[in-house]
Amino acid sequence: MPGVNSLNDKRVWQVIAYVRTLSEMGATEAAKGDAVKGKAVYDANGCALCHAIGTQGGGVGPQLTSIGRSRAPKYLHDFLLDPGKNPPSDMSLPERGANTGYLLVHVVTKDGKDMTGIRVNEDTYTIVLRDVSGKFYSFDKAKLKTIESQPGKTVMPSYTSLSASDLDDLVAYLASLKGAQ
Amino acid sequence: MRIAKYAVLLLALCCAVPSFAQVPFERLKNSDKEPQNWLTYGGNYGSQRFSGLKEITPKNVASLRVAWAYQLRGGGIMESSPIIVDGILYVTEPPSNVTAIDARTGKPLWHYVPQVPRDFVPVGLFPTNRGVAVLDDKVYLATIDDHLIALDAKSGVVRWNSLIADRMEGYAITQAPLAINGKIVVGVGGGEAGAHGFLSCFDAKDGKLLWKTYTVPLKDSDPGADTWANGSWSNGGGTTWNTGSYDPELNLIYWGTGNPAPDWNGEGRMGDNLFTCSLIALDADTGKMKWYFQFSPHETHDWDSSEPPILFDATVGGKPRKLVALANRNAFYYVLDRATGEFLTGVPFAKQTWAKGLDAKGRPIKEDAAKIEPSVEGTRVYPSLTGAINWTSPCYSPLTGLFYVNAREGYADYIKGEPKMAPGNSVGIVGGGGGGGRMSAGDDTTTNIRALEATTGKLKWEHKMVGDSWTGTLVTAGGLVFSADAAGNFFALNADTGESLWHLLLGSSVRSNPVSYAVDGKQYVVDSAGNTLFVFSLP
Repeated sequence: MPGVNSLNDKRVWQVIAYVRTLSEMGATEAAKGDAVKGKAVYDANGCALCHAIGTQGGGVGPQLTSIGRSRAPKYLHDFLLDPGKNPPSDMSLPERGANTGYLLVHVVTKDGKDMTGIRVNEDTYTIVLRDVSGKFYSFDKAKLKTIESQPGKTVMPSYTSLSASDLDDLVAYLASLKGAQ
Repeated sequence: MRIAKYAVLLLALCCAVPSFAQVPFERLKNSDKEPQNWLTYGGNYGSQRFSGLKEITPKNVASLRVAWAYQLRGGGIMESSPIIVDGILYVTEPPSNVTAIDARTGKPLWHYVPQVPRDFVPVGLFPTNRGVAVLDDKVYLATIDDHLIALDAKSGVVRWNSLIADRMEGYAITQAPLAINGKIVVGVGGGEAGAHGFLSCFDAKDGKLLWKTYTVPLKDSDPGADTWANGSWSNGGGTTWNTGSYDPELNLIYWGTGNPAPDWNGEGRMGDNLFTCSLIALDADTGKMKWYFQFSPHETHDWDSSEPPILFDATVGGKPRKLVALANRNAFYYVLDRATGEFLTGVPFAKQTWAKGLDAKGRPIKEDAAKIEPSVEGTRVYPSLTGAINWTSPCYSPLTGLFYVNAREGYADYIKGEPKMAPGNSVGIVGGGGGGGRMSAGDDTTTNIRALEATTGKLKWEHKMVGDSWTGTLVTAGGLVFSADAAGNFFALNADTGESLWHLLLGSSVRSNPVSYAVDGKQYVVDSAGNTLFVFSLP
């Protein structure tokens, strides 16, 4: 294996931890649904409003172009039923780390305005949120009265309303997406 | 008459350009008397990282702005703590390069690149360099492949080159050497590669080895060998990878030591494993150990005790004492008598779940092994694998009596594996320590600037931050503490109260220790972010 001089110790261990989680996600299992039917389920449920595959779709949620490379069918199945339980990492900001991507945060300004949005970035002094239309909101923390994280909540709906076969087909379709990164 | 005018003009110009002055030992010893310079890695021999400059204050710090910046020539992340001598700034770049810069304008003066074998991949550490030492007319550099090199301060020309250790035995060096009276002291890294720790001392004039003191026994009759079951001292460890401190009056060198090997599986090395995870005090002339204090006996979480020891004097129990304080990676803050090594105080400065406390002699009272020892499935323990602090430096102000530390809150699930140590031939054993850990990440890890009462460790104030910062602290006579958060916000706090006064986002993570200096009476503050050195001043 090539050297990993570009990674510091922390990053190395995060990579190791991620690789270990792959087996926990059932990475070796095959999807049991019909991927062609699954695309119809995807289209019918408006998934493309928030997700992009290739050049088509929205940008609020993670891109799914190659989701089948990084997520096993079991993970996709469980996630569709309970999307707030194990949210994806925000890989565009790796310093945010695991399980903190797409975190919903509710803020109230000192002049009484409030909003809830997906956390895009946060440091000691500022926080940037995004609403479901994709609009960004940038705040100085010094001007906020409250900042409330809402772990477990998500703007992604739960798809418990799908039939078991539709769910399996949708999972098979997502698992088949292995396009270019 | 005209010639005289030119002579005056030339003289004036000479005053405006940087000058390469001699830095005899007396200047280093009395560095607090020239706050315009930053003459040693830790700012003074006590590693206090206290600047006596006071142009920048809580009242005007909001006007601080970038005076100049310098970008690395070779790429990588800068972790260097610069040395500044009479208007010349010496900074190192990964893996082991040195650049001399005009500290007023940021213009490079010379650049030195040692010949490091391209195929050399150090085990368990990032190939960087954290600074140089200066003494008399030379700049001293320790390279990643274990050479100690003396450079002419005026030109960067190599004056001598001595081998410190054999890289094929797992040794690698990232630290700044320590220059004392006619001698250069330097330690080694490589604890994850099973390297045998030692501290060595070279003649500053010609690079001749004067003494070498091992921190782990080499044979059964050596001191401490009886604390390693079945001759397990042969696995090594106890490396000396971060720069230590010096007390010229006691003529003692203080240096922290790293983990025993293998790191996370201690079954094969039962016992306290002396002199790992300790602070050692060595006679500067002979290298003979005068005392040691072991913070973490039989350590199994990779909590090196390599953090900078800070020397200060204070009254304890009604008696004036010469003290040494160390914020340890194991999350305890310790105060010892630096003449004797006597334990005086020890309290947690960050969350820890491995010890019920410390006994009267400072030895940890550990929790049950089942709760804290690494296991196959992972045992969750605070602090994290990278510790409550790592290589970055805390600071101490004699004006406030406070010890300022960037304290990490986080955990790891510590994993035990099969060690694959091969004594004397350990190169290539990645993580050769029989295990590792899954560290907390994202919002589960935070770092916070904490001001501790130096003699007791009692928390006076805290500045909370977002994320996992790897930046040291600087305190100034102007009443400011400088550091940075994980996102790269370089900031200033009120040293008395912790009030946030100013910050500027530098655009990349800050992995270094800030310093301060002055040229022509103007104060500058320095830190680096990503691959760029930033220098700040008032307008």
